[in-house]
Amino acid sequence: MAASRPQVRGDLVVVELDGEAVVYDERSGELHHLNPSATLIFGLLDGSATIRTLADDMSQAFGVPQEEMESQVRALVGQLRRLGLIEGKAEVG
Amino acid sequence: MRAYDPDRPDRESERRSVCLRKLDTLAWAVEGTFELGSAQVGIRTTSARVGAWIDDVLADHRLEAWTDATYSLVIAEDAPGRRGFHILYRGIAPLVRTTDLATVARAFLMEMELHALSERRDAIFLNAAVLGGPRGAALIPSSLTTLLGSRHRLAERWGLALPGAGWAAVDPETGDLVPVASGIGVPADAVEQLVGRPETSVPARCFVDDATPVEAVLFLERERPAAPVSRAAGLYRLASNCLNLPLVGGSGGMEGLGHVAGRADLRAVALGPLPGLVEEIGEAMAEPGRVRALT
Repeated sequence: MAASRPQVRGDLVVVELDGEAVVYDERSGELHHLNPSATLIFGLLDGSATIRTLADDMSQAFGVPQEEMESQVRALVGQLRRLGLIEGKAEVG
Repeated sequence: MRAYDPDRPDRESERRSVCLRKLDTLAWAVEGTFELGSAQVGIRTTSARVGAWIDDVLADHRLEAWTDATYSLVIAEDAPGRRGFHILYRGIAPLVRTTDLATVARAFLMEMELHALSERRDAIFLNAAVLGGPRGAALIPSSLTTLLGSRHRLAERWGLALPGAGWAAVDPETGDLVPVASGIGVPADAVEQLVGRPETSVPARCFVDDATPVEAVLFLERERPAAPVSRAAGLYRLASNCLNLPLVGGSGGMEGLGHVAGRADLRAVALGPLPGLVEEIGEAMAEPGRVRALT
């Protein structure tokens, strides 16, 4: 099964202040406020890495167990996807 | 506008409203209906002279249709027993109460502009009021204007200048509050047409006449104690109260509001009994290092 490489939509307006982000989706007219950890993960969702890879990198950087980090990243990506803020990109091979 | 007819057959919705009844018993002289933006707005006033002025400055928006009064403008000279105050009501909420005719006229015109702000793109328009104070200008929820007005003497003791309008215009480039031209075609000298030279050089309410930085943004919390407001949370709340964000667009609107949230002192005040709320706002608006207890 291909792993997804989540990518934040390129047409979103993102303003970051003191490590937190506010996202304005002009298409839907909705606003979203991301807390610091969500902002950090959101900023890494550029379509280049799978969730597992992101979780690996972040668990090493922050000293958090990989499983715990992957669970958090998956939950956030799922939430962002439901909000229509990211578009999935299937991993080839 | 036309002569006020208290027995107009289609005044049923007004009759059904117990709250409006007391206001309805005042000696209204004229009433009229105007189309502003997408809204049909009913206006009545106790003064035939002010009614003629409204007819003139809003001539392009006048409708023949009847609609119940959205705004009621009590003019002291024509309303004996009102203790010399001119009062602008929206529904039953007094928006402005002042002895200065120029101030109430200006506040009335600002309120009319509100209905067309969502169609404009020449500034970022916020559903927020501008409060003046010792430390400068602050944005506050529009709903606080009436509450502050009910304790205006205490507010004045804190050096607060109550808002003259329920909306604010922000320059997308700088994040400053800015004055804007009328979007509904009201002449720039409309107030002077009514009062001649203004009665006082300083209006009785806070209006934005020059580009002005936002020193503070006060948000209202329902629970006590009010939690601190992060800059991003402040931006989120400002943007949520933007009347024309789709028109000014993301880059303009969000970045402009980002300037405000990034620089201003952001505070939450807890909704609670007056006058405690006024004092909390007064303390937030006091010059740094000069916070004082007034009670």
